[in-house]
Amino acid sequence: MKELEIVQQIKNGDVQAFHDLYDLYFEYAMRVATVVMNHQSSNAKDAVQETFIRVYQNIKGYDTSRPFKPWFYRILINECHRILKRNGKIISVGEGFNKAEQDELAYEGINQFIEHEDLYKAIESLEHHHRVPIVLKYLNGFKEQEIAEILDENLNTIKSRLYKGKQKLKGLLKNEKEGSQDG
Amino acid sequence: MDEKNFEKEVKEALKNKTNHYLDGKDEVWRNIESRLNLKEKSPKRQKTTKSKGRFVGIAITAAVLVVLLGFATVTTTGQAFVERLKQYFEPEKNVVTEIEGHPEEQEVILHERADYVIYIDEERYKMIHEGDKDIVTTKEPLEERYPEVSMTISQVIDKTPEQLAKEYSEELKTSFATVKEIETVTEPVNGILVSAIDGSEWDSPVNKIYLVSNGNEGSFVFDLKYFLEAAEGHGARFYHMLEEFQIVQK
Repeated sequence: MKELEIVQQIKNGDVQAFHDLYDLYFEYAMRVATVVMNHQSSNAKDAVQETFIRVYQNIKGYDTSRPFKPWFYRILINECHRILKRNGKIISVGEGFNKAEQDELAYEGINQFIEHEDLYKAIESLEHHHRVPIVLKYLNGFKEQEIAEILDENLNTIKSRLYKGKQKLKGLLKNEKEGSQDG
Repeated sequence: MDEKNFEKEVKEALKNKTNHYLDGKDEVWRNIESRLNLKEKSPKRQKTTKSKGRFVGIAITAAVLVVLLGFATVTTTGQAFVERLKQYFEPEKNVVTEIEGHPEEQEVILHERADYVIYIDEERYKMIHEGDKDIVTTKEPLEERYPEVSMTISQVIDKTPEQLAKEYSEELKTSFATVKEIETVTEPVNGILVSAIDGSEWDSPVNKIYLVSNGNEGSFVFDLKYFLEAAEGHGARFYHMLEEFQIVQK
């Protein structure tokens, strides 16, 4: 079933369609929330949960002539920010990551994990306002205009943040490589 | 690393490092299902009004709270448990209410007090705390020509709603032209209502006092003040706020 059909059926009160949407969106919503929430797993789950609840409660007001995905992610990012703000931790980096990192090392392919270690650490170390557009662009494939709508920012601001974010990532990776070569 | 490769690597890194966090899908769905009362939403029930749907949801939440709070009171971590329970209430939500004959969508914000939670339409109202009382009043002060508009929430720990109803009724008779018979109500709250009006002009003061048992020996008191012309505006909005009131026992 196409996304638009699912949304239309939810609008008509079809609970099963809402479950279909959940199946379709949960994975990437959780991935995005995890990165935005600095790997605080329970907060990421809360954000995803509240997002689906809000989507269900507000779906009647959603304009089907507009793309659904950015609308959904706008709610998700707002929920992430609301929870971060409530916890007073909007820009803390990497909290809760160590345990997850250890668990992952213990249970998953160590080689694959190490392969992305530097790059991911660099992404994690980006400032919040650079990291979120990067995640939306590269993980979700959103266009710059869509990211601007999701984050309620000017298109040029998003272009600039993506550019600077990318430059910082490359710079961080370069430093990391040089550092390891020196060592 | 070229641009295309770089983008691919970023995506792979993001996916690879978030794989570990994808468990809990069923748990999150169960929470959503419970919060939205989805199991109850058979095709027949979908035809009920939004207000009633919300009422069913609240009733079930309240029932869950009663059971869970019973447990909380016998554990040493009861207070922490209550704090966690409060998280089941959405911090903000949209409700549709009928104001002056028209549906009106409002974003309401959760206010957590030590012993209760309530949702306030913060676009129009604010909650202030004065001693043991919480007062919901208009965000912008009204002009002097308007009588007071407020809803004061307080708790009297040693008097039942029945006892207080008699006292308030007598008290109102000293300053209001008409004091209605004390009545038992089930909406917006389960409790007792004492209501009074002083005249039939547009600005005649109205006082409605809802009394709800606090689950022990005492009562919650909701003292609504507005004026006749505002009955379907402020009066209706206070009414809808009261619909969302929940006791959170210590």
